[in-house]
Amino acid sequence: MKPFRDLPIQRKMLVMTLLICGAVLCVAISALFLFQVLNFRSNFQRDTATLAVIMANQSTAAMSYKDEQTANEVVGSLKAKPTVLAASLVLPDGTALAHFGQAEDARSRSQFPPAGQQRFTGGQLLVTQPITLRGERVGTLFLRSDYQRTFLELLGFYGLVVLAITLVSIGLAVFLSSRLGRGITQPILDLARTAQIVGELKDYSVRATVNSQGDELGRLSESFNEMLSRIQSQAAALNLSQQKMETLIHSIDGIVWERTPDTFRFTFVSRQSQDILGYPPEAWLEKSNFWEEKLQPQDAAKATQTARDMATRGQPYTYEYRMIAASGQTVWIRESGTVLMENEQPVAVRGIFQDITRQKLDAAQLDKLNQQLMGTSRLAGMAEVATGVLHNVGNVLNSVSVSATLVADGLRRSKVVNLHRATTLLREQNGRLAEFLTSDPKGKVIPEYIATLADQLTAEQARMIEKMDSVGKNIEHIKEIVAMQQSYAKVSGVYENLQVEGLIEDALRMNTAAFDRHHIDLVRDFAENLPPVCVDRHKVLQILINLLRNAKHSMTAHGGDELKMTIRVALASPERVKISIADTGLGIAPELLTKVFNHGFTTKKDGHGFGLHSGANAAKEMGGTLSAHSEGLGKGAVFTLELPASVSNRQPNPLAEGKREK
Amino acid sequence: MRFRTNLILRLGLIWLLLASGNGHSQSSPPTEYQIKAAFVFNFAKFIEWPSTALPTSTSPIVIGFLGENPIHDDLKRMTQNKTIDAHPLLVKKLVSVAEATNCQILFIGTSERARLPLILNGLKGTSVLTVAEMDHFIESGGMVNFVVEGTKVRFEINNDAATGAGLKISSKLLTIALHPAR
Repeated sequence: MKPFRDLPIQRKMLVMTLLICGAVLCVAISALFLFQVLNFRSNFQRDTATLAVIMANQSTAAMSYKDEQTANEVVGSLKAKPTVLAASLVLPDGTALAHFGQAEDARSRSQFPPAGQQRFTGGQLLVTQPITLRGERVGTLFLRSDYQRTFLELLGFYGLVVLAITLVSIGLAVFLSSRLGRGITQPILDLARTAQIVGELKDYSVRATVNSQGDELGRLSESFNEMLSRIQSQAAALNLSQQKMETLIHSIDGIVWERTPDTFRFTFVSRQSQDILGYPPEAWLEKSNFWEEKLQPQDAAKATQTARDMATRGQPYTYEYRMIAASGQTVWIRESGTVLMENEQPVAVRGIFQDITRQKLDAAQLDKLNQQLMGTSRLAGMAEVATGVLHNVGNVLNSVSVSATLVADGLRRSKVVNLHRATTLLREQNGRLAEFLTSDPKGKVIPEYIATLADQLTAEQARMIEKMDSVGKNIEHIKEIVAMQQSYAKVSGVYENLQVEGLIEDALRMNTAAFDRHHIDLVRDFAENLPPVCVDRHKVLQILINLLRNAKHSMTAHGGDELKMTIRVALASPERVKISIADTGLGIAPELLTKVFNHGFTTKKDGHGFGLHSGANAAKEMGGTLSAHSEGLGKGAVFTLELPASVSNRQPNPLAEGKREK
Repeated sequence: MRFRTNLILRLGLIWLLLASGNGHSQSSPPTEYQIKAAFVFNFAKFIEWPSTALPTSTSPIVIGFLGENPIHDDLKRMTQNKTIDAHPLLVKKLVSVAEATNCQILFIGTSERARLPLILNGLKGTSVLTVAEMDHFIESGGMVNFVVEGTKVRFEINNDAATGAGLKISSKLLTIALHPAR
């Protein structure tokens, strides 16, 4: 049997009505029955007693006048009373005047109670009713009444009545509930049917019939219809705006999508997916890991991880990766997404995939050009360094040449010739050497001469050695310069943590000869405990050499009594080290200060205007700056190079990082 | 315990019934006039007199006799120290009709048959129940007449006459009367 809640509403109402009726009836009948049963005995007793009193009263005359006929008539009237089994009228002397039913003899009379009382015996009620007339006892009525049968009859009667009432009530309830209930159920059923049609066919044009105007059901039907018409108009509006939206979405130059934040299951993908990647939108929706599969293998792990991270963070984001299109081509995708949060939990991500392959290619092109430019500038810088090196080497070679000439001159004018002359003289004395040395006046002075010559030669040798030492030292210097140049040329493009002082000394070494020649006074003002800088050794050296050479040129061109160059190193901020090179040279006109770093700007006759420009670029590339300052023409200039302190003290450069990771 | 109580009660009842029965059966069967005397006495119980006839609750009910009178003695004995609703009963022998007007019940002896119209005429306007045992007594305007049917004593009642005299005879009495007169 169906549970009650699944029954149709009409059946439900019927069952309800029946149950209520049944319950009410049950309670009422039970109460009544109980009451009746409880009252039956006393009612029966009272009825019988009343009957006895009436009988006794009616029989007074018959008893007084011992009129048997009338007495018999009186008791005979009890025939009409089926509960009465027997009645006897007995005179005061004990003789029975009349009786109905069983005659009461002395023995049976003994069952009866004393006069005026009642007694139940064996399902019968026995009443002894005295008959008195004007205070005088004129006889006794013995009445025997059937209690049990009456009670059973009553029970039977009640049973029938209850059955009849129940049947009639049920019939009436069914009839009334079906009749009256229709007023309630019909609109509801109608409403339900309409709702079903709406639900199944999605047809919002149907309407429920409104049977009544005033009651809640009528209002409900009206409201339902109103709701339907509102839904209808809203559906139409929604449809329109959806079409608009779809047109917009599908015309956007990018794939609009929606997906789950963690499993990357796509719930919507715009049609552009076909044009951009060659995959129809359905392909995305069918497979849960479609996106992950189509990621470029190198980017896959990072892209999915980033997507997860972004979803967890819950903020709008943008990042880039590569995907493999249906044609097999690699497509650069920029994904921009917005995370939908519910109860602080990401529930969906909506966003757009943009094809940025062209931009990426352009950027690569640009990068390549930049690299080329950098290469060129580096070559130019290297040439400048090389020039410096050669210049230095030339200078040193000059002194080497002077020394060599002096040595050659010395050797040419050597006293060795005199020694040769003395030895020739000694060889000519063939066997008369002792005589010659002792007797010949010439020979006598020879030993003295040789001694003197020996002294002279010794002095000469000392001078030669001295010169040759100088030559050797100079050659060593040249070797040093060349070796250093080579070492810088090798380590290019590598960032190292270096002490600024060492870099400056290296740069100075390249120019020592020139500074010495022009008698430039060099002042070093280095702060202590400076942190190392994270730089490309070669680039810094290039910048410094350029700055030193510029300073030297400026001072030699300007002339003056004092040529003084001051190199200061200090901390510009906790993360930056500042190197400033101040000269007493020509200085820079204020209007030119902004142009000194421009490409092609130069004040030198043989300059190409590339040094400061590439220096400034290199400084920027390393995260530093190059700036110029001058009080004016003839007042000297100060160039300042700021460099970032080593990695541990420095924020990573996001751009540089991105590039390196690729 | 209960059984015993019942038994005692029953035994007591039986004894009482037997005792009362014996009491009555002591004397010989009643004579016709004894019965008639009892009847007359009983009439008083079934009849209501107007307040003019019985002014107070203790006014005596007087039963008077005119003429030959066979029940006087029995009635006198029967009514001795008896009252009906606090009315004492008084049995009197009368000689004149005038005396009879003060009675409540007048028994007219058979010897007075000749004087009957006179007596009845004299009682006009009074509330006296007239009782006799003679033919045509009812037709003559009497109220209650004894009739003997075999061994049984019966009586006739002229209710119209009684009502005319302001008496109210109980319907119970009327039911046991012979041919109730209309």
